[in-house]
Amino acid sequence: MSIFRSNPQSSDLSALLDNELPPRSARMLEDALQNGTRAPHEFDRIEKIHSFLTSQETSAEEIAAAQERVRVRLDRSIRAVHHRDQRPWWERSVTIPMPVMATAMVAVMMFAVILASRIAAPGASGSPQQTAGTIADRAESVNVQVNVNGDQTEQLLRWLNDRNSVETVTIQLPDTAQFQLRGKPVFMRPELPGERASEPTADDTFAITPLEDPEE
Amino acid sequence: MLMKRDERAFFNEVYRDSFPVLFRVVLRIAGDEGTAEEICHEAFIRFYKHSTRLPDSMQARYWLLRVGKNLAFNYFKRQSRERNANQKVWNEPERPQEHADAEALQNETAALVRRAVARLPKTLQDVIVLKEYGGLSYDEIAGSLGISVGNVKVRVHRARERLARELEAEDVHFPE
Repeated sequence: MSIFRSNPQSSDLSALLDNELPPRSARMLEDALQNGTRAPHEFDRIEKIHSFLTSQETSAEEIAAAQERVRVRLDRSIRAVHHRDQRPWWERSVTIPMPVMATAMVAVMMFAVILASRIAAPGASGSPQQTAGTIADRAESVNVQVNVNGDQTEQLLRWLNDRNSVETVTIQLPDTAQFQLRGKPVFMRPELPGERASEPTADDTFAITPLEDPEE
Repeated sequence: MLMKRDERAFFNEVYRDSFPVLFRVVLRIAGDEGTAEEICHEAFIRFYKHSTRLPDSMQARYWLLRVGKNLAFNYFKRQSRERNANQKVWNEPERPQEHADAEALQNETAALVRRAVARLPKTLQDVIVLKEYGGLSYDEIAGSLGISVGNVKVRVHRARERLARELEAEDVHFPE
C-alpha cells in the first residue's frame, strides 16, 4: 500500500509524540484525545512502541568510553592507511577482483597458444631444408635480366632447362628484327582448376622464322 | 576564493560530533557493544577515504548514518541467517529463557523488536531507525534521506503502526 494513501491526521499522532506539530495543532489534538473525540487507543499503541524503542538508551558514559576505544583503533588503522599510501607504487599491494584476474589469465593463455602455434607453423623456422625451400620458393618470383648474344641463346635455354627451376622466360627481340609467322596462331591460356589447358594440335603448329630475303 | 579544507581537523570534528548518534543507532540494530564498536570503526575508516567528497559536517553525519545503518543491518541479517541455519542443522528449537526475570524478558522483547524492525520495508526502516534509535528530528531525517518533512512524518507513523501490528500478532509483551 502506498504511503501517500495514509491518513494525514493519523500521522499527526506520531508527530505529536515526537513534538513535531505546531503548538496550536498539538493543543487541539491533545484536547481531542482527552475528550475522546479521537480514539486514544491508537495513540497508546504507537506510544508503547515509541517508548520501548527509545527506552534502552545507552548512557553518555558508555558512549564516551566506546568513542575513546574506537578512536585508539582508528588512529592505528589510519596510520596504517597513511603508511600504505606513502609507499612507492612498486611496494604497494594491489587487490585485483577475481573476475578481472580470471579474464586476464584467459587472455594470457590465448596469447601464448597463438604465439606457440605461430612458432610451430612450417616456414616460420625449422630445419635447414625447410629454410632452403622457403628461399627457393621466394627466388622463383625474382626477375633476372640476362643479356646474351643471339648465338648463345640456345645454350642459355638449355642450361635453364637443365636446372628445371625457371618458370617463365621472356625474350626481348631487337626492334629492328623482322619475322614472319608460319601456321595458324593458337590462343593459349593458363590451366584453370579442374580444367585442362587446350593444347595445340599438330596442324596448328605455330613457328616464328626470320623473314625471307626478298632479293633471294 | 576557494579555501582548502584541513581534512584532519574536519575528520576529528565529524568524529567528535557524530560518533554518539552513530553508535546509538548501530548498537540498537546490532544488539551488542563490541559489534557496534567494530561497525563504527569500519564506518569511520570508510569515511576517512571518502571525506573529501562530503561538503560539510552535516552531510558527513548523514553519510555516516547511512553507511553505519546498512553495515549494522547487514550484520544483523547475517547473524539471523547463521542462527537459523544452526537451528536447522542441529534441530535445536529456540530455547525459552529459563529464568523469566525482568531483564531476560526485556532482552527477549528487544530481540523480537529488532527482528521486526529488520523486517520493515527499507523506506519505513530508514526513518524509524533514525528517529527512534538516532533521535534525529524530522528535519534532519528529511535532510539525511533526501525526502520532504511531510514524507518523514507519514513514514514514521506508518512504521510505528506496522511494528505495533506485527508485535501484537506475535503477542510480544512490552515490560513496563
